[in-house]
Amino acid sequence: MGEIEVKYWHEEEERMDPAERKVFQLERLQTTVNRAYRKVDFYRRTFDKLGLKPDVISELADISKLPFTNKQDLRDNYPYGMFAVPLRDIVRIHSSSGTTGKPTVVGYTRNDLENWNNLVARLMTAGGVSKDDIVHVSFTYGLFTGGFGLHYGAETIGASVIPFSSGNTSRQLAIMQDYKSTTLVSTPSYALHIAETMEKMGINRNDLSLKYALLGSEPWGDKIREEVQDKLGVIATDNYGLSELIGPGISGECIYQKGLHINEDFFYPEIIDPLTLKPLPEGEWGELVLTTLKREAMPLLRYRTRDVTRLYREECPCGRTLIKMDKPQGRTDDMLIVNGVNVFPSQVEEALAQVQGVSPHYIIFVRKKGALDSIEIKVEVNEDIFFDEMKKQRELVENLTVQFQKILLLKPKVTLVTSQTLERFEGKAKRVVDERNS
Amino acid sequence: MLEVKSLYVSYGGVQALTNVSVHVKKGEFVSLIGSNGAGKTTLLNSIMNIVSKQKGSALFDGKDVTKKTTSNIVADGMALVPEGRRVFANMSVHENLEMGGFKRPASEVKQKLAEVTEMFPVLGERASQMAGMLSGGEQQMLAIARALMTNPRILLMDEPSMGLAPLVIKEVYEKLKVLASTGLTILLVEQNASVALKYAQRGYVLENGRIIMQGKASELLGDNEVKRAYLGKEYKEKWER
Repeated sequence: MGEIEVKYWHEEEERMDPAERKVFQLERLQTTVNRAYRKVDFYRRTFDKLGLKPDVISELADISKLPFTNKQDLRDNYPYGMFAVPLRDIVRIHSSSGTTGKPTVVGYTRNDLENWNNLVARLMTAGGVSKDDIVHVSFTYGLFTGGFGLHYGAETIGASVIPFSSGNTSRQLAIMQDYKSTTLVSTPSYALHIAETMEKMGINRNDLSLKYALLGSEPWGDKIREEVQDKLGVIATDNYGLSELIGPGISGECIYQKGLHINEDFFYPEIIDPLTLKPLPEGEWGELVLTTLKREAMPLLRYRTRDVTRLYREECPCGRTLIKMDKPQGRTDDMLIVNGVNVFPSQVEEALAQVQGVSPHYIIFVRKKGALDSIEIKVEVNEDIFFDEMKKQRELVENLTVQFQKILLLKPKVTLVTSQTLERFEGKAKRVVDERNS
Repeated sequence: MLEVKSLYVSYGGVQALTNVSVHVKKGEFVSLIGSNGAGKTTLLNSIMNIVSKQKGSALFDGKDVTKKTTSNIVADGMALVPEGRRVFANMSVHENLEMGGFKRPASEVKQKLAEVTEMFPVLGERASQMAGMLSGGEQQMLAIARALMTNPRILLMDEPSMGLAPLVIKEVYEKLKVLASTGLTILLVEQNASVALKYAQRGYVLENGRIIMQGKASELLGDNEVKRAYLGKEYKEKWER
């Protein structure tokens, strides 16, 4: 990676002693709860119904006494019911797509927008971007928060922004070449698509001036990162956000790519067990729950993101003291509980990636065996192995079993099947067959 | 330096403060704004333990001052300039200042006297006058100077603009700015939000004994809610909900 110069946008906040940051967090949490109770009917009703007073927070840990907010609550209060300010104080409105049910609406006051710009500027700076960069935005503009979020973050830094939006990849590439774009903002899959288009068009990474890629808005792994970095010649960093809370700007990787730094002075993160809804200690995997600490237009208390990750503190070579989260490993909606252990399809994929000679196609079967649950994973393998000696097959099964056990924390039955025997899916694949209740 | 955490105070049968948390870092200038009766004076008085708390704490350099006597708190380096100045009207300016140094050794008082009269030359000029003869602005300067005689590290100011003309208010705040630049930490409570936030780095908004807003002073000054409630910039629009 060569010599790395670490830059900050809000050095004081990003490198603050966590004990001092906690003082701010508590004050902001108390204020947010006071405001939510006073200004948002939904919260007042919820608190009153539970017999809760807004002064329930005397320590940060008291946050667990607050009720959760779900996406459904935002839908039930569509469009403006969650706003804590009159509409005349709102200067921007974004919205989710609403492909599943009513869309959710998000409002911003002028201060919210300024804070948003600065939070995105933080993570872009962490990803290497400075005022000298030319930032090519391939996110869709419009109601989706990604385009405007990264656009204004880059402008706030003082970079030159090219608001290309999505589509027409060959033209995007021509512009990137001619305008000497140094930074690509897109989804990871679009970055891959750009790389493929380059190959088709005969464009080499040295024909471009790219140095950084800020990728987000969908889950991606190290394999994609390596490919993007290699083919585009960039440092590719991940950033995470949720339109319900603000959009991008909640967390982002620094150039050392060691987890995503959460802007915890603006969003208070918790990890809960999605079943018991109890908070889990730092380091454990579970569902990410976020509380806004500075949002004016739409304070949200304990919003359930459904994203599965873990929180941890470690010294980062970049010097930021912000708490970290891992890349989300799936959604609680996909989670399986097998003998009390949480299992995610993404963990199976992770295990498969560790073993040579298997395809990424699999199906998980869960069945009842007496009182206990049992799990079987069918994995497609190359035809050849079935013609080989039994010993090789047995070794592969053993190897897979060990890997699964290490990652899933339970021992599955592993069955090898020849390639193309498992069903293929257009779009979202069905990876789990739960036969316990049938 | 000062960290008020989840403080509850009941005063005259009324819940004056509910779950209030406020902090001031060394060298910071922080303003807390709120309307009459919001609980601002109660907050300062409970930090000085002039009124006692029900729950919560106020840490000064890590030690809970709500368990100390007021004179010990002053000795630790905290001083309060009360609302309405409260100078001793029938004593001379010089005597007022000496009262401030009441618990200090004579040599220190002498040195401090020299310092504050250099800072506030008008007090040197009127050293022998009765404090009650001073103008409102001069009395405010005297009240500040008297507090400085205790050699505080943090100064709590209650409504310094009260009853003063705009130009005089500016003069008082300019003095506070100079004091802040020498490293003195300042926590100030005010109804006059525009001036209090103009000079501060951070601010809090107290309403009915609860903190309802906070942030960088510039952020609060630009906030529509603050503008409407505290800066007298109410306006009507047809989009009002």
